[in-house]
Amino acid sequence: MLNIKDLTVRLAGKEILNRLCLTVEDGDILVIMGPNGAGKSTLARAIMGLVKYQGELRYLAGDAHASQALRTCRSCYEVQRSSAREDGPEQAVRWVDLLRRQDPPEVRSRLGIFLSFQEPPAIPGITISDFLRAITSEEVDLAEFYQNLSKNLALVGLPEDYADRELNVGFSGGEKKKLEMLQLLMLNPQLAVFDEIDSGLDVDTVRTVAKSIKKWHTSEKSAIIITHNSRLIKRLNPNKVAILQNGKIVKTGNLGLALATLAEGFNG
Amino acid sequence: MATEISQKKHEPKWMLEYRLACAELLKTIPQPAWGPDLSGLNLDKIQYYVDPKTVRKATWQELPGDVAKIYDDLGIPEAEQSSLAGVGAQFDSEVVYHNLRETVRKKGVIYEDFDVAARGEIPELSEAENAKIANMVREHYMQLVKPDEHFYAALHGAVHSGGSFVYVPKGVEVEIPLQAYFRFNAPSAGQFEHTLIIVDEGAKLHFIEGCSAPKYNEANLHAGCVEIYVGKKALVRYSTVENWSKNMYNLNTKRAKVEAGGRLEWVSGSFGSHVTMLYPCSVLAGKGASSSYLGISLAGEGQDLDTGAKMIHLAPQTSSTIESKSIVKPGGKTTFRSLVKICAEDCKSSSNCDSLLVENPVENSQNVAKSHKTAPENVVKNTTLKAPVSDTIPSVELKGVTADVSHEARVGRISEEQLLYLQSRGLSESAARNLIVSGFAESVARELPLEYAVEMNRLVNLEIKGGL
Repeated sequence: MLNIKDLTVRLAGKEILNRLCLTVEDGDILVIMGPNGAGKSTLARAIMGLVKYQGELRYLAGDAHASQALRTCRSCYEVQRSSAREDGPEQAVRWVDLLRRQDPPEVRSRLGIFLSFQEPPAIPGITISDFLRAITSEEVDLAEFYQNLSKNLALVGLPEDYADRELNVGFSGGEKKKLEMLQLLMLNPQLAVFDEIDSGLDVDTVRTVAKSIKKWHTSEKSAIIITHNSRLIKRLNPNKVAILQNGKIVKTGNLGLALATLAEGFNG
Repeated sequence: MATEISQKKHEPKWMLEYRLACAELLKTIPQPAWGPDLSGLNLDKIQYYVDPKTVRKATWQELPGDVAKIYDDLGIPEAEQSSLAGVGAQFDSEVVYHNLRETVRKKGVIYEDFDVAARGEIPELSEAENAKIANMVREHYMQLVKPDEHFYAALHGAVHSGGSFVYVPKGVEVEIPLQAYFRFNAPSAGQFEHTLIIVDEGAKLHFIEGCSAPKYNEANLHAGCVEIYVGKKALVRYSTVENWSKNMYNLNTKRAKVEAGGRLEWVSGSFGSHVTMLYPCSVLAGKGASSSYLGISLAGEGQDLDTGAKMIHLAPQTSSTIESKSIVKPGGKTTFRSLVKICAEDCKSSSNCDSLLVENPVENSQNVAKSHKTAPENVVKNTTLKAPVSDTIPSVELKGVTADVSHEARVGRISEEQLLYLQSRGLSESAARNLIVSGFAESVARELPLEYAVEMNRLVNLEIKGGL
């Protein structure tokens, strides 16, 4: 699904990521751990296209997303004819080299990439339902949209009337993270990155977050979860764990590595 | 000039005398010494009276084709069908269309061309009733906005033409709005319509005023005047959506007097014009009277929109609220000016003033990965415009009384994090900007009549897109 090779990011003259390499397969639940300032959030933002980077970041869009991208933003997507004929059916090129294209975040989003923000900003005057309607597929009719919305609000533990609240305005930390989960469920991306999704959450909200991620996740989808929360890690049961330190992936393993790191620290 | 207009209109003698007195007065009043630069306005070049060359009609079909098409394109006849109780349309200096629903007319509501009402020539009324109306006009005309107040009030008094007269009798509630639509079509023209609204005790009215004009190179002048008398326990809402072209000097004066227990609500959207100076004023004259002002202005390149409100509390237990929003793009300027004057006990007033500066996209998002296709255009386009400017000048006067008065002001920008967040959800940068700006304007947009809210959103989006 995602191949990252020699990813380097400099911000304000400082090298944050240094030739980082990482592979994510379909169906992976990958937990990334690392000390403060190691570059975890920068990695998340590079995948979403929010920071400039060098190196290679290749992403394989699934058929559904590739064809949606082809429909909605033709100009940003490569097209090939599936037959040799000039008027043969069109097919989107599925492997997208996100570096060469320096695709803006909206294109990546339409290709099925999602980032759960550590601190989502407030957008006054825009209700959650209007916002979700604007970002989800126009092909879903209004009745179905509201049905989905109300089902997913219940799933993330937000009251029904939150649909009319302004986006992140006056939300507590926990409510903001629940709203990110609501967007995950409504957008149904193929690759989702969760940046410190657990920070400042109580036990119940951590459980809701884990439940939402598991509800969304299938064998065709991949999750990258940046966290140090043992409850969340245990609930999600990742098949891969990577340690990010000094701008590089220094160690990879399975759940055991996460548990050992939680117990002994990064230099244990 | 004043005599010429008056003769053309066959006005009563008192009106001609009034015009001549105003013309005399003009010689003694200087131009405003504060606010936006008016030096681009050459009063010698303004055409004070422009005849649309048609007599007034009661159906749209009867209007000359080119005039009818303009209103059609603006969607006025369609809106009249669906959501308005009455419509008046002024083209340059004269009212060319007027109609009021029969059901509303039967309740005794009068909505007429101002000149017709002043002459006492309303076709549906008897001679005696017409005499009463003509007298009512004479008694109320320019009693709230006095011609000696400022230069443009005196000018208005001398050359006014067209406008609306509305009377709502005691206890009558006009459920659907009345609308006046003002259109400038001639280059260098001036429009000086007079709107006089009298709403009797316990009655209710929503009056909507819409304005637009095509763009010419010469300066246009709009110096209209609105006077509203709100009776005891009456409720009046006056909504304005103004989209003058960018060569317009919009120097309008609006004032209302509110009797005991009455309420006046100003809702105002200022999107067009080169320079606007507009500060609707409510005089709260009776105990327990109240007023609110809700305004939004959008200033782009070369626009200086100086707006606000005045609330004069003359009676005890009166209250007022002012809420202002302004959106300023590069090269634009907005100023919010307010005066809250309290001369009686036990009064309350609060104002809230928010500005959103919409800056050059390139500066905002240097770190974002951009598709190479759009980047070069952005760089070229954004080199010359000045940064957007927004000022707030509130003023409070307490005349030896204590009162509960508050004022809050904020200036904000579209933050990079907001843009990135929305882009991460699949919106393009311009769609993200539009969404943020629409959200900012939302509290005003929802107070406008639906078709105007849609129009406002369209204008806001159009304006924002134009800047990218």
